[in-house]
Amino acid sequence: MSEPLRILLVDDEAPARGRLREILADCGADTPNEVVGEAASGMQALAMFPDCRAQLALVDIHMPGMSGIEFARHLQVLENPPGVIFVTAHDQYAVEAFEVNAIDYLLKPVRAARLASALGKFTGGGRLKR
Amino acid sequence: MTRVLLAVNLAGLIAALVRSRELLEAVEQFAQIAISLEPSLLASLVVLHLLDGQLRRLTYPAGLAIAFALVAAIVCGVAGGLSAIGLGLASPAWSVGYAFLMCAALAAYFSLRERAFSPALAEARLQALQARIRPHFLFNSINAVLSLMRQDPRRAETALEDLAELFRSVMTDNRNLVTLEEEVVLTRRYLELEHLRLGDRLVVQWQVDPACLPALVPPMVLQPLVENAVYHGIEPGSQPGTIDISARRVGDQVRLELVNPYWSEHQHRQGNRMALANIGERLLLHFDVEASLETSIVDDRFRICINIPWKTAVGARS
Repeated sequence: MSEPLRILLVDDEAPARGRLREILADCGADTPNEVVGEAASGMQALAMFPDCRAQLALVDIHMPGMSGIEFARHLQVLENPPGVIFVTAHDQYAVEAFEVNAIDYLLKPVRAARLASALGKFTGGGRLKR
Repeated sequence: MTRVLLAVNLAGLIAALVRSRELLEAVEQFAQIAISLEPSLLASLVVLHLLDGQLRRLTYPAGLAIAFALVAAIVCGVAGGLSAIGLGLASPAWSVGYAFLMCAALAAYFSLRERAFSPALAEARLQALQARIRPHFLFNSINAVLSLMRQDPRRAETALEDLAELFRSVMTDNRNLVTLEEEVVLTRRYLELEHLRLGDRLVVQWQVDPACLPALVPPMVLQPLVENAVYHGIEPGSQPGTIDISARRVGDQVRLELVNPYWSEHQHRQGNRMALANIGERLLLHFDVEASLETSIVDDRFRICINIPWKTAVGARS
């Protein structure tokens, strides 16, 4: 574990992004990570690629304009797409979420331990293949 | 009362149609009938309304008999008076006969209706229609409160207090009417929570005439509509959107009006019609046909207008 995990936060609600930052910091001891960007919409987030070089995106589903699911679909056509973990207050989109190859589906409010296990899935699985 | 007016006039219209062969003739006949019908009808309603308190103390048959006698006397008087000035159409005897027939039909209708919509049944229906808050609102709000915990514990406290109060109102037995003021306070608490997570995107303009605040309204009549407005009108937009909420007295009614941005492409978001139907049904149970709920879309804005008969806690018509 040398480089911290580069993470992008995509959520239209600022407090929700703030909360994710906090619990990501709490997970830092187990999974060193760094928030490389925040976006309030899918469009705004897409514009950050490839410059932000995010390896993982934490994505809300209900957002104005482009939904989180659509955003994830757009990511898949990128050359080196980041992993996606959905973070939402709605529990009914899990099936759609895994259709766009989500690594995990977290329900708000998220516990730090639950986020840590999701990060673990990514670093233990997807990341090693890179 | 509205039902009585409608029923009697409808009967007059039917009588006119029966008596005439052509439509044009029917209109004339109806006008003729109306000359003697309307004064009797209105006078009867006024007298019965004034004696309502006294009549209620009697047994049902006694009350009914007195009501019949009163109506007969009024109809007789009106018919007599009209024929004296040369306007009468039917003899007093005929008019009384018609009036008795109408009274009997209406009494039968209302007693049937009473049994069909007994208070117990209405209460049970009201309970089943208890307003609900969307789960995603609860979880998003708790999430927003969590985000405040470390940086701004005081705001987190206030937010939790708002949340507790909101849920207390949602979960209490909500069959009794409350003042508009209570509804406004509750809705403001709800909006505080939404402000927390939506920030500048949520703009609310209140225009509540303070004179309206003591008016009695069904509990949870405003908050679910504002929640709808946020869900369907504000959340789909990334730019600030405005919700206008107004309350004013119009004649013998209090009028609540709510306007929010309308996103036609977001109509698949479920639940709008459900909340509206729920409130519509509760208005019907509380006020019968004397309350109304209308929606319209004007210039990309969704508008809801609710009219509720004016009523205050002391019972006085101020």
